Amino acid sequence: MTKPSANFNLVIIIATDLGRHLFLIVLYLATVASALAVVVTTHNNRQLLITHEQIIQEKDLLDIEWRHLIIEETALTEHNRIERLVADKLNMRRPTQADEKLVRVKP
Amino acid sequence: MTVSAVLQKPRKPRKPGKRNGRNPKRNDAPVMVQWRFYVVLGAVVMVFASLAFRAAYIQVIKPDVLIEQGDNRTIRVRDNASYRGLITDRNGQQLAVSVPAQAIYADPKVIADKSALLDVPRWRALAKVLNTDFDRLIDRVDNPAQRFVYLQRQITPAMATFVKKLDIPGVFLREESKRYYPAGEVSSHIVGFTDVDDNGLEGMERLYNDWLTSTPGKRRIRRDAQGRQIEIIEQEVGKQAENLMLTIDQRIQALAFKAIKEATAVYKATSASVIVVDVHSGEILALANTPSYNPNNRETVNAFSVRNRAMTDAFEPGSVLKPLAVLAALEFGSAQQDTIIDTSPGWMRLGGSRVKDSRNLGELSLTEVMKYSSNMGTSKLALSVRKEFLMGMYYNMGLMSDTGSNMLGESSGIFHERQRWSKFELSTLSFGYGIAVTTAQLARMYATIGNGGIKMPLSIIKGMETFEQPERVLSEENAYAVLEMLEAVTQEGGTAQEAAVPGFRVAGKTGTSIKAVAGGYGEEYVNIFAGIAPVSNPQIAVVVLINEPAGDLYHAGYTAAPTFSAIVSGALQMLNIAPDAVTAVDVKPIESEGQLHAAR
Repeated sequence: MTKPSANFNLVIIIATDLGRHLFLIVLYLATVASALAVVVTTHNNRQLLITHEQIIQEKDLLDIEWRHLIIEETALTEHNRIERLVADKLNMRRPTQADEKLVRVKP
Repeated sequence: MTVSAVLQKPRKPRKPGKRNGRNPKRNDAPVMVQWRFYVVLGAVVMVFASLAFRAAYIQVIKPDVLIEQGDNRTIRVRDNASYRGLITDRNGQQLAVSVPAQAIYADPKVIADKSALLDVPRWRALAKVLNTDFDRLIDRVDNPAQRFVYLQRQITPAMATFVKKLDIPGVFLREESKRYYPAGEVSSHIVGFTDVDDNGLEGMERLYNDWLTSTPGKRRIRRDAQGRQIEIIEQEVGKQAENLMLTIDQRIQALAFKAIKEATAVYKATSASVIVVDVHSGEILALANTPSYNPNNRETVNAFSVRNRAMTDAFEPGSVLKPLAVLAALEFGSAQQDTIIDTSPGWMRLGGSRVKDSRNLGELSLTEVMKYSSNMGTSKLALSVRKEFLMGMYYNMGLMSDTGSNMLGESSGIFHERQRWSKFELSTLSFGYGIAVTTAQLARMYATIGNGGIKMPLSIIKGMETFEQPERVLSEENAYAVLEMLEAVTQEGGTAQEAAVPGFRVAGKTGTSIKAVAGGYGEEYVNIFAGIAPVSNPQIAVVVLINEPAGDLYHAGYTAAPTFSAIVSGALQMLNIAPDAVTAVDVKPIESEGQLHAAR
């Protein structure tokens, strides 16, 4: 081992070595990028699934509420009930023939 | 460069006292540590190798146990909520709706294992909220051999919350659904009901059970530590429940039910039925019976009130069938529209029996035969045609077959086909005895007349394909001629002036028949009024049947006719059909658009 031959510059060696294997570097970087992408996508996917579940739950709750509202509405608007109410409270009645005026619009 | 070379690098300064005559640059110390080095190296390799082996063992050779352990902690199966389909009327108003409810059940084994029965106050509270006896409740759950006992089905959400807070070990809640019928008794005979497990038992609920039923979808998911779903592993799509739209118009249905309910009470009748049919499409707009029942509270339901009488019960219809004799004669050609029939002296002998009118009506036109409901007139008309032709007429008008509505328990009437008919039997057939038909069959017959002779199958489901095709069974001219004749019935001097509807021309026919009992005819009556309105542009056919009126009024002209009138006037108004009676219509053509708003 002589002195001049031992005069290595590590940085230069690394640089030349890397320069010789550019393709490997590209592959390496691509692998890292792809791994990161997988992480990000998985995360996003999970977020979406969580949202999806929340929305489904919300939909189910709304559906239940809708069903209850239908029952309430139909119970309150039952025809015989309405008829009784308008007769009692609003003093209304069904129009008779005498109340009706038929209008024929000329075509 | 080997590992040993690296280890050699930090060269120790030569010890001064050492002398061995070798090159001072050479170091002889490594000789001593060589074996140690290999031991350490071996140990390190062993550590890594065993780690690698362990990892391989866990991951490759026997991964199943741990995968299962992990899955137990993260994988869950979740049901997608699903409910039975809705039943709606033709305008989309809901007649049957499912809402979620919960069932309380107990696992007696868990209760015994955890000695939950010792906690008496909680069980007392549970018994109180379930409205049962404490001892009976304990009896039901105190049997460790069982694994499942329903404590109560279909409880309210408030009760569910209470039970959840009681937190008794071994008592759990389960999701289920409860069916509500907002229209209650008004539509119960059509819609029917389901049992507690959501299986249809009656009416449309039973007929279209498979169509309405859904199976819940499932999804296997992976959840994270907070219980959120982070991965859907597999999804199983269940059968979606289909909705069912009926041809019923709930407004007319409510009106019709109210009218016959009142009629049943006023005339002290055993039962009553009404059916309203759209003459052009054969769609049933309303179908109601009394006695009815409330499908929401089935503890009070009797078997006899569940029967859909308009479809299942056949009666001898009486004079309601008289238009058929006239139609048969017109179609056969043995009578013309202006034929005059001599009915004097008001009775005649056929074989050994007498056919008679209430009084001697003398010479009658066909219109008057209908107007005064002359038995003599229809008998003579019926006997004037070939009997095969007469039978064919009854068959073609749908009095001997299903109506096509395909409803549960439908009867196709009672009629004895035979080779030989006596003249008296043919004559009784002409005024509606010797054949039994249902209310629905009558409605179809009148709808056919109103539809200008084209027979439509009755339908109850909107948009359903029928097996039967529309069929022309009468000539249009004769159908409308008889329609005009029937109008006289509701006019001055007719048998059913109370069936008249102000503002509309209404055609119809009464039928007051005596009910047959074993060995002859009894003392009970059936009152029927069947009609079509309006005459100038037929839209609906309505049949009202009042069974066994026990009050002072027992003639159809005074019971079924006014009920008919009430239903038809309301129904025509709701369907927005213009009045056609000449006296009622005040035709004033308007010139300017501005006056339009004052019109109604």
